[in-house]
Amino acid sequence: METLPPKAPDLRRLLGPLVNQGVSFVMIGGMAGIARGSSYPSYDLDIAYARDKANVKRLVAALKEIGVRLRGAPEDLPFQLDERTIENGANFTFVTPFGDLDVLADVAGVRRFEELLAGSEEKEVFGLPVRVASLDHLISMKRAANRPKDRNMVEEYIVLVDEIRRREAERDED
Amino acid sequence: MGEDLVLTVEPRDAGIDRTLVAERLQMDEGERLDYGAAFADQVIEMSPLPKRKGWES
Repeated sequence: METLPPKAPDLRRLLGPLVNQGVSFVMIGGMAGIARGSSYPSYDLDIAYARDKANVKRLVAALKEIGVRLRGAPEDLPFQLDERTIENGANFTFVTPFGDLDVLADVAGVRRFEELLAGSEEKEVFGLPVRVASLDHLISMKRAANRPKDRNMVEEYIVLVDEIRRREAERDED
Repeated sequence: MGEDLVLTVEPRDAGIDRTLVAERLQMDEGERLDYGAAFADQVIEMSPLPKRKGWES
């Protein structure tokens, strides 16, 4: 049965270590949608990360600083958070003292991280420079996930794209 | 047949509240995320779904 976390994640505490350790990542998922203007609630932070060795090292340092543990895993399941573990896996779902954090290398709907990164924009989020996935990529990801809630979100994201383009066209006319 | 076939284009109507969208777009990213967190907290509080007791549980 689906369960909910006790509250929404504390993004300042999750994003801070990632940015400060210099991790190459892009905010994706519902939080990225909210940052882009969506009104659908999200209960975790999803990020996509670059898989090169140096970045995995930085990611591990940030995850240790945050204090992640595997979400939904038995308490006694051993989990060694190091570069080898991250390199041997790809996508990880964590629980942290500041909320749920999903860390993804393979993102359905996007071919490569570099493509996602190129389409993203750096935004100032709580004083931190954070790259946020484009609405076009968020739409691709939601279409790939294709659950009922994803299909609803696609409709809203399309309206967001439309509204942003309309505003830009109006600005260009002025 | 005395009838013309007319093709028209109309704005997509997916039932999305465009005033809400416009309101969100007035905010910056941090404000949107703070608003989203407050909204998510409300949804969690009102939801009949079981909640985990703490982040670590």
